Amino acid sequence: MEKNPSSQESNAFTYESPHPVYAMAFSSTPSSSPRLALGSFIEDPNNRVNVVLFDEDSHSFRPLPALSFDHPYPATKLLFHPKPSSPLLASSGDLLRLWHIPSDPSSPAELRSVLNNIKSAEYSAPLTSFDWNDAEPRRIGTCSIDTTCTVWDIEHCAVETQLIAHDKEVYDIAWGEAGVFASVSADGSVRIFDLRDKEHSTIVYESPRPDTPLLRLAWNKMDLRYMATTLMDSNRVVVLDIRSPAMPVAELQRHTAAVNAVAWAPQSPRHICSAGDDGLALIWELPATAAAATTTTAASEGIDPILVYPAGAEINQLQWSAAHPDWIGIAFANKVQLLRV
Amino acid sequence: MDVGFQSQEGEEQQRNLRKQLAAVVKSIQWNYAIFWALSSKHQGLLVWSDGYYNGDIKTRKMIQPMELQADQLGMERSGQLRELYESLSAGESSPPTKRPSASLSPEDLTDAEWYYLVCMSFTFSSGEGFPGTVLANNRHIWLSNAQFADSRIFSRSLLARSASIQTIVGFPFMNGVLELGSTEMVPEDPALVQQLTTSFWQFTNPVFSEQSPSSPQLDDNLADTNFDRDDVEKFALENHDLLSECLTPNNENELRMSSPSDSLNEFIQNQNAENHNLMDDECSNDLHASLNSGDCISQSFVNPERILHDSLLLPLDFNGNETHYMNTLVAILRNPKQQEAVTSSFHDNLHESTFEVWKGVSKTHTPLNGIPQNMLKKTVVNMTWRSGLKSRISRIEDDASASHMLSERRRREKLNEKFLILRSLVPSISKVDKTSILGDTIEYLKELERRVEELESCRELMDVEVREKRKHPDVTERTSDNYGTQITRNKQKVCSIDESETEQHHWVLSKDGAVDVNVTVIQKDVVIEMHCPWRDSLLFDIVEAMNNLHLDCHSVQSNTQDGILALTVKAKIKGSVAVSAGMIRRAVQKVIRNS
Repeated sequence: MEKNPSSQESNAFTYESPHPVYAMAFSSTPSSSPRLALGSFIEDPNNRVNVVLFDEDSHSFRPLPALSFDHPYPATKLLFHPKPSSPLLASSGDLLRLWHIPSDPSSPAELRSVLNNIKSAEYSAPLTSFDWNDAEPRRIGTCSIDTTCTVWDIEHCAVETQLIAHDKEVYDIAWGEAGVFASVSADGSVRIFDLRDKEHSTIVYESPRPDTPLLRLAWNKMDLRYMATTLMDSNRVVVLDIRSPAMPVAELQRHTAAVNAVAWAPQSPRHICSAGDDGLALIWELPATAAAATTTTAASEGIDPILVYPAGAEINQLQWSAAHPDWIGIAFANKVQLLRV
Repeated sequence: MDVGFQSQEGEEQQRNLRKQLAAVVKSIQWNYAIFWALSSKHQGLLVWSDGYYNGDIKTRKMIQPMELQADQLGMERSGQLRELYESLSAGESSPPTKRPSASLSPEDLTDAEWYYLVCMSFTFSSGEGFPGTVLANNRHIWLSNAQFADSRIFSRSLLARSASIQTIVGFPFMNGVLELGSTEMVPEDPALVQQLTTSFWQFTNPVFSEQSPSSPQLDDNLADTNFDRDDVEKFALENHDLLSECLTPNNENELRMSSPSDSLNEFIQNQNAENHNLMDDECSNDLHASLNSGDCISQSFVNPERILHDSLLLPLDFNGNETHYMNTLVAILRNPKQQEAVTSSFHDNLHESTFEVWKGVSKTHTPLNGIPQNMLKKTVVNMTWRSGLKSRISRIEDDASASHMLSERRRREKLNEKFLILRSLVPSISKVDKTSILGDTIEYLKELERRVEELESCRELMDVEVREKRKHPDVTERTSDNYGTQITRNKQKVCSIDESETEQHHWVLSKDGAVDVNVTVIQKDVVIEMHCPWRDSLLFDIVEAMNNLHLDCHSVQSNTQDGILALTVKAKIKGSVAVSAGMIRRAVQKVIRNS
């Protein structure tokens, strides 16, 4: 099942998965050959997470069947443990699960733990997303359609805290700092939470038409002042400066169809990649100063992307991993492509 | 660059200055003292030299669990604050590690301590800001209501507000400026200024004496403190070297600055411009404007100090949450990551890159199925197909609240409908609002009740008549004799005719003779005139019956003739009790009949 790219001239390397792919994660090991965890997207309970190796020398993909496993319902997100030394992979869906993915590709993957809130053992609402805290890797934050965000202590497999974060479903969550996370929701707001003071949250952005749901959120790990969010049925990527709430510093609107995914460059504070239904993956360079961004936007010119890659089909997923900053992973239909930046 | 702190001498000078500041600020019980000294590096620039914090403390973290004197605690706190500031400033140069082991962390600080800490990042040119103006004018400035001061005069006014600093005073002192601040509102006091000035200058005279560091006595410290003008200057210069090191942006690529000194100047200029904007925005209280100024702030990159106090200066309109959010921002931004300049790398590697240079919209793909964000929505928005049971439960909850709202609306609609019906039923309703409708209805019902009573009592009368006639066939004659009023079998009609005026005239026959009860009610005044056969304690019983009806009898006239009691009772209705003439009459009749 080795799939060699047909599009060598374009430097895009394609893996054809047996299933449509939604969730995707790069391993944290900054080795030359990244591993990818790929979550199938089949609209029934029987789904898979496949782990494949991308050999950077031969530019080919090698499935690692022993490390692949069944997953109930499609994973809404996959993430490897932020520390390369840890063999854990987390998946969200109906529940948060931790899987042991051994470095030896011949030993099998194992389900390590299922994190369930005891208080709501009978009924736990599906998780829309989660984020692993880089600064405090025992913390995972999940978000749910039941309007809550939950912070888990994965060492003790216990809930550290659960917050009613929004008025409506929470769609995405991102850590900024060891004790600070942000979330986006169907209520159209981006809120920042500080675990030191759980009584308060701060709304840093609200979608212009009230209650236009915000679907995805990405916090710039290279410069925590900036985060990006996407709106439902919108071709825009809204870039926020958390110090100037409510007023985006930039709106990136060169996609000709709705945006599905957004990721900040792991190696640069000013670059961001977005992908959407128009089949394009765009890399943007934000102006050096926010003032420049504002004036440019004010001139109704908007910011142009610097680079573009046309995938030819709706891109559903986009990952740009800190461990492998040279590669951007995209998923469309049942294809996964690695794009060299 | 000689870092003078290393030397024993430098440390001693630092201790001395701080001790001096401590002594003064404690003696007047203000919150902090700062000495702004002229920088050696940048001509005419005032920088933080030293300070003493004397205000509230949130968490006291002791490195050693030892008992310290109060003034030593204060000294230690001020030192720790400085340490914290330096560690925060150093954050950028050592990104992978957490802050160096400062004994305090930002979350341990009170608002006033934050203010004090952030002051350390400020610098002022002569004539600029509060210390600069003091220096330029070479005379003291007293600022009451500092938190509302014009930012041109006091650029830290917004910060001061967050820390509840209300009064600051600055006076020139040894080529620098001494600034003291208090959370109290202190009116200008020339005597105090004089006292402060002289006390400071007094110490600067080289009155040498051996230092006794452990002396708990404040006055002793004051006396022991030796201070030399040259030393202060030297100290200031040394200190400045360190400070300017902190202030120099590590990454000049981002700012495209030519030299550290330029960047410092630009930093200062920006800072003032921003402060000014912030102040205006605060005044206009305009969210939009304040956000613009937020943009203005974000012009700056890289410099950690900037980030630190930019974030604190943010004009946020979150009521009550300001400090919370500020703290959050500080937590987020206190350790800006190393920012590599990789701007060009994307272009450089283009020959290898999968990406093409953007040349405008061209090869776009038109979505086939027409549902935007199809897979994303199925993943996060329309999760119903996923774990059916679970989403069904949540939908039931939704339904419950929705149906509650619906039934509530139906209830209100019904209520309004009934009110309309009520209004159409009551003829006397004049106004359409619900209160009037109800009020008029109550009146109307009372009136109807009264009519019913009247009619009933009339029927009662007829019944009694009939009964009496059966019992006493001869009664007719007797009664007609007594009162000249014929109530005979033939005259039954009279009674029915009289219905309309029952209140004025009412005849009842008892077995012992004629009974006549006449009740008149005019508002609260009740007059009862009656004739009836006399019996023992009848009068008492009647008055008691009146009392039971909440009637206050204030005059009773009676006489008895031929066994017939003629009685006139005048009474008032107590309070707001609704008593109708009919009720009174029936009560009286009952008393008479029961005899």
